[in-house]
Amino acid sequence: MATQNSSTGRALKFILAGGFVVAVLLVARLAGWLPPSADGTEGAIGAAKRFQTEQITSSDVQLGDEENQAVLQSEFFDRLSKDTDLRSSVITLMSNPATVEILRSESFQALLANREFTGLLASSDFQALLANSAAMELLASSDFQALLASNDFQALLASNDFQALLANRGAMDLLASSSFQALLANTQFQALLANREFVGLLSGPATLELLASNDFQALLANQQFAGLLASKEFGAMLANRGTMDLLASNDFQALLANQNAMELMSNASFTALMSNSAAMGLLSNAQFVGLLSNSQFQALLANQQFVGLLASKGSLELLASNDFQALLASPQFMALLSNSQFQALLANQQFVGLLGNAQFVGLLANQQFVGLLANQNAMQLLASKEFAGLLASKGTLDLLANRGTLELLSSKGTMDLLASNDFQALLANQNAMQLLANRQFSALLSNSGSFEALMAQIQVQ
Amino acid sequence: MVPRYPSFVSALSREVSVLMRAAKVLGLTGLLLTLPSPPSTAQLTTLETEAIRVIYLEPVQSGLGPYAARALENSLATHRRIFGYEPWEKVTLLLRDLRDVGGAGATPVPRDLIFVDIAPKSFAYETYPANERVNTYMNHEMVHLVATDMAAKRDRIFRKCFLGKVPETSDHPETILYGYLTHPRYDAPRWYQEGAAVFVETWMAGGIGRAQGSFDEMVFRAKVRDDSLIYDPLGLASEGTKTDFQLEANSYLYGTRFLTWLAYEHSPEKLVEWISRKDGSEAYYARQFRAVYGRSIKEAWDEWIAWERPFQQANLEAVRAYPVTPYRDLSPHALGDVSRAFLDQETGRIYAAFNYPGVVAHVGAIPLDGSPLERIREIKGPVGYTVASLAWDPEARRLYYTTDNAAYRDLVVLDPATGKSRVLLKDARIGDLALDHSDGALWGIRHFNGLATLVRIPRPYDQWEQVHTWPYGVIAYDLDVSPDGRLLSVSVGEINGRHALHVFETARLLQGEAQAVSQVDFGTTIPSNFVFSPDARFLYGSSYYTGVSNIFRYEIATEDLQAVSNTETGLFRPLPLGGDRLMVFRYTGEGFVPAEMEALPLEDVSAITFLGERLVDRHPVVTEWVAGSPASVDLASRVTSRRPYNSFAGIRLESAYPIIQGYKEVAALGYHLDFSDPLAVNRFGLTASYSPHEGLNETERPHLELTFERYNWRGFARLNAADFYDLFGPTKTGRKGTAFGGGYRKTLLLDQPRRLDLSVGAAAYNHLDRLPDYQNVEATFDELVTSNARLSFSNLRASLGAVDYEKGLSAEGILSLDVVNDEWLRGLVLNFDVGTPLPLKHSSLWLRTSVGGRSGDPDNPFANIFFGGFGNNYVDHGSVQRYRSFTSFPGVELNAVGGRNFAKAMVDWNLPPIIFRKVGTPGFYLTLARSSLFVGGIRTNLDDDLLRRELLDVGGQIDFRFTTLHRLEMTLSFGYAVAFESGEPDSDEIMISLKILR
Repeated sequence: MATQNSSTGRALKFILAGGFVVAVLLVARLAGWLPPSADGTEGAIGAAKRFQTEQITSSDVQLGDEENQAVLQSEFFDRLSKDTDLRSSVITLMSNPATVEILRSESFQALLANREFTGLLASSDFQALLANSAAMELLASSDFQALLASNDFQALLASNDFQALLANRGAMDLLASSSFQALLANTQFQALLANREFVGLLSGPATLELLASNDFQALLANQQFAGLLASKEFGAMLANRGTMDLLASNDFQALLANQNAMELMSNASFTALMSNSAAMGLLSNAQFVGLLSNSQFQALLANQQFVGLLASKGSLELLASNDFQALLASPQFMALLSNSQFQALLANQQFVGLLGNAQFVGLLANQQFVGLLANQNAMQLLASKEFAGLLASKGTLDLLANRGTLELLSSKGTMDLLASNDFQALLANQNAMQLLANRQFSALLSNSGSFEALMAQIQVQ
Repeated sequence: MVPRYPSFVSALSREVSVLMRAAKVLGLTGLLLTLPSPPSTAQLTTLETEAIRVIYLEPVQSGLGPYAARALENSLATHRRIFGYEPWEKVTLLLRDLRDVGGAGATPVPRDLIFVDIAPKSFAYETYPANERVNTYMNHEMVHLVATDMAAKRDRIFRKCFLGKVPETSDHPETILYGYLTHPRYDAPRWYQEGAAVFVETWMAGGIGRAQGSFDEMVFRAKVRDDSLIYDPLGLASEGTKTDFQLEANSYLYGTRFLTWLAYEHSPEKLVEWISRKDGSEAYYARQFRAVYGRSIKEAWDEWIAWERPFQQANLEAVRAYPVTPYRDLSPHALGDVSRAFLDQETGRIYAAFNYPGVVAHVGAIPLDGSPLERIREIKGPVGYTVASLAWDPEARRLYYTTDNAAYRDLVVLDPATGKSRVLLKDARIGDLALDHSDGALWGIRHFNGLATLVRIPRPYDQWEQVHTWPYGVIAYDLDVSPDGRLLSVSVGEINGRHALHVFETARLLQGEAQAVSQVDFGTTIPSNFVFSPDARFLYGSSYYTGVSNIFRYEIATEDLQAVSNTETGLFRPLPLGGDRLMVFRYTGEGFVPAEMEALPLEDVSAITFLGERLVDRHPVVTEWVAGSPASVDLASRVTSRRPYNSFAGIRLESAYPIIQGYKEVAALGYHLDFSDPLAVNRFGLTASYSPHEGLNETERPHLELTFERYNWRGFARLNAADFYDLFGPTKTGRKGTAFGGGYRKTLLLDQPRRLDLSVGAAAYNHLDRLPDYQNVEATFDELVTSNARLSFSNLRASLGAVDYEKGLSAEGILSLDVVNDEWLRGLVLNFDVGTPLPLKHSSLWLRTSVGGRSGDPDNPFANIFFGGFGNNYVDHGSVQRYRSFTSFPGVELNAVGGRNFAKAMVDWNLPPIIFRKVGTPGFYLTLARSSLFVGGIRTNLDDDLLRRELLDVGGQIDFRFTTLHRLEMTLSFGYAVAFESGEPDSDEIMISLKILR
């Protein structure tokens, strides 16, 4: 306490002394005994005095070519000024009357007025795309020139959806990706771009909606999907007449407009599937391509139930499974796809209805069932004419559509059976095949009572 | 800037050639930008009014061109108002984008021309405060035209006599007189020209300019503080602009200061009277000064210095009113210009780029332990004040820097441990580098077509991405990225001359959102070199907010700005060293000195007083000089034409004047005419003279010469060619007979200082009596067809203040094919020079070698190569150091040694030059003396023992360079050499030569 008192006393003395000094200085200053402080030394951070009048502003410096400068400042333009090959490609492109016509068209002018589009032009991604020599070669090609001149292309340019697509970051990333640029270099893809039907498809309202949708954007942003686009196989598929027919069909448009289709496309599993080499092989397979041109298959693709099936969680897991990949890669599965009876089955209304059945879908999505399908023997069975005939028979379809049948097929017991070695051996048995192909066996199958009895017997064993 | 003729004309022609090539390269921009118009190619376009002609590149500069026209018209109107100036002819303005640093120049000869480098200008150290730059350039350059082109009655009479303004040319030295008669005010010192331009420019911009400049105040405050030399006019021109680290910038600094003081003391109106060339005024600028001020320039200059010292002393006292921040120098001497610096924690060194007199610009390291500065790598193409842009990656242990800083910048990576470097991006035009430590990407500012673009260069640095482009007139500079890569800071200058420090989030920038998250307005002072603290809480930088460049600390979160230094001269480029310690560069009269200081927030820092501010207080008339807005010019109503630039259609007579020439031993009188277009793309010269001497054969009395140049092409036709310098022996270049020829020159590589040139030429001669290249050798046949191809490479460098190259190499191959008397003679000569600097300042040692030979009969003089003599005439216009030429061999007579083949070598020691400060008068003074000692040897006819000759020589040459009429350089040379040949008496040679003009 004594110490505290002593401190307090000293502080008080200091305060009194300080106050006295300040008072004396104040009196001295007021009395003129002290000189005034120099300009700018009044304390704090003194700003130097500089004379200034009102200055010109940005409104006095209007150049009016700001939009041009956005292009000129880009990396693309820098490359253009340094890369003679790129320059000659662009000059070829820009010297073409068709290009000039499209650039002068109202549609393109409208596009130029679109802020999103000009933003796209200035974006580094777009610059990267333009700096790609493959892209330039494509743009300068006669096929592409023909495309530019088409009415459909103009309609495409003018559509709001297309403009929305162009403004999308995912689309930009895709366009700038090396995979997409490899695709551009693909001659078959270039032929596709020049295809009138393809352009017609692109300008279809459903396509545009799809392209502009968030789901599709997500898909575009997916690296694996980009890899798919860049693959040789995908290019081959796109360039195929069958693909063209499919893309141009009303059914396909209907598919594109389907919400489920959208969800399917944006699903990670589906994307994984699409990037799978087996899937690639399938897509480029002549038989599959033949299937694509089949009107019945096209109808199937457009079927709401089928699309719903594909978009279901179970289907997606199935599609992404290794077993399903193995199935896709098997020659037998290819053979099955090319089988006219199988194709008829796919187009069968009843079968399509069956695809919409939750239990049937559950069955298809069952791991064991897929494992079975991937089995060599099962493959052979699937590829056999007889089995396709069996599947396509009315009896089989009736049977499959039966609720009891589906419950039975989905039961654990059936699954265990299907996965058992014995069943595998059965599948490998030539006689079994003959049995399956037998008309009477089909009749038997169509009799639900007898079938159930048979299956019950199997389970008991 | 006022360029020198005639090197300026050839440089301009070269640059226009580059512009035309650029137009071709950018040809498709027309296609891209003229939509939806029909496709067109980029081209030089001329926009003309009654008073001006603006030439620019369409459509790339379709907005800038017309704006520049408005600015020029607006400026011209103001100069009419202030000076009563009316241009002698239409003023041509050329816009070009051939450099990454903005600037401009003007010349009154052969015609009024302004050229503008449209790149954003540098704000380094606040050396160039200004509002929108084209507006500023127009105001500044028009003053040059006022000061050099404005004509009194006498000038107008002579201009009419000579049909124009006569440019001085060394081909016809009489033009020195004609030039003075037609444009006498062009013969004035640089400090006068630039001082006038800066002074007027500042007040035309309403006070923003160097006449109220903080850097200028600092330069003279530092001189007074350190009691260092303030040059007088003679010392400034002869030494101050040659050896000081600021070189020619001193002309701006001294000129601006002196003229501002004159206006302050004697009124701006008197200054206008001095600069104007009105009827009745004196032709010579110094006489006009005396007429206006009643005293000599030297007397007034002394008065200014006497006034300057107490003025600056008062400012120093104002600074010292509060405690001055202590510092510790990290280098015993100043390092000239410096770049941004970086600390290498691992080695305890600070990396930066340096450029100071006597040493070639380089990236170097300053050890913090006080060890001497280490040179790591020379920098190709440094730029004034900032040297180069530099960034440091401590993880990769690599430095990134820019080369070709005054041209198109390259990005280079450097390993400081080994000194090895590699070009990453060529001609990327990117500077202001900053490294994002989070991902290793470099950020930078790219200049193109007058705009500044923020770019990102991700690893491996082989391409850049455009992030954000600022609109024209907005200049971004001094970039930094926070250590965590989250924030980016950049200083931004606006059209109105105001500057602010902006902080952005990098993630949002990459998404296209250029909205600052924090910013602080610095008014018209410049926020320089702000860098993040290690914790990214603060930004440290410098500002002349108080008039003195102090270090400031900006807290990003609170937007609180605090001074952390109070210094007497100026502190720049802070580098956080940890804690409160900063490394800074301290300004001194010798350049910047690295120093260490404690950065503690200060409560009190006092401001200084500006001379410019005092001036306007005393003479408010300068407030009436404001040029106003270029937008007020109704250009549409003034435009008389707008069309592609046609270089042929624009050809007009430049001037015509009488000449005197020499032919053999007699004189000839005649006339010379020059024709060219406004950009000197095409140049014709016609010379006709006649020798009335009766001793001369009648057919040899008339002399004609027609020359033509267009870009890289040139041609000539001659009849009995005569030459002014043949009036003065011993070398004679005139030849009897007729000659026709032409040539083409192409620069295959121009990456300064590296360049590779190819030239080819052919000529036919008739009625020859002497060999065209060897005057002392009689021609055995009177007809000759010659052709040659020359490939030259050079990579020669010099340090600040050098008078000659100090290191590097050059190589040249000359292939010739001649036809004489139906015989084909082939020849080849190879030259190779290599040099290295010596420890003595500006001294170097060179090895110069040549080998060559020709085919044909050794008895045929056309089949021989001849050597001998220094080669300089008594009065000359060729190379001063002619002894370096492969045909020279000092010590023996001209062409005295010949042979079909030869080998030659010379060791040439260039001694340190002597720079004179006070020898002469401001109008005629000695600038420098440079000297060389050499020893050489030659062996001819290597393949023939009987004809072979072997000689040695030793000699020296000293050249005194002096300046006449402030800008016309002359060189008086003396040389002596002795030659030795076995079995022959020694011979010697004395050479005295006066070279006219540069």
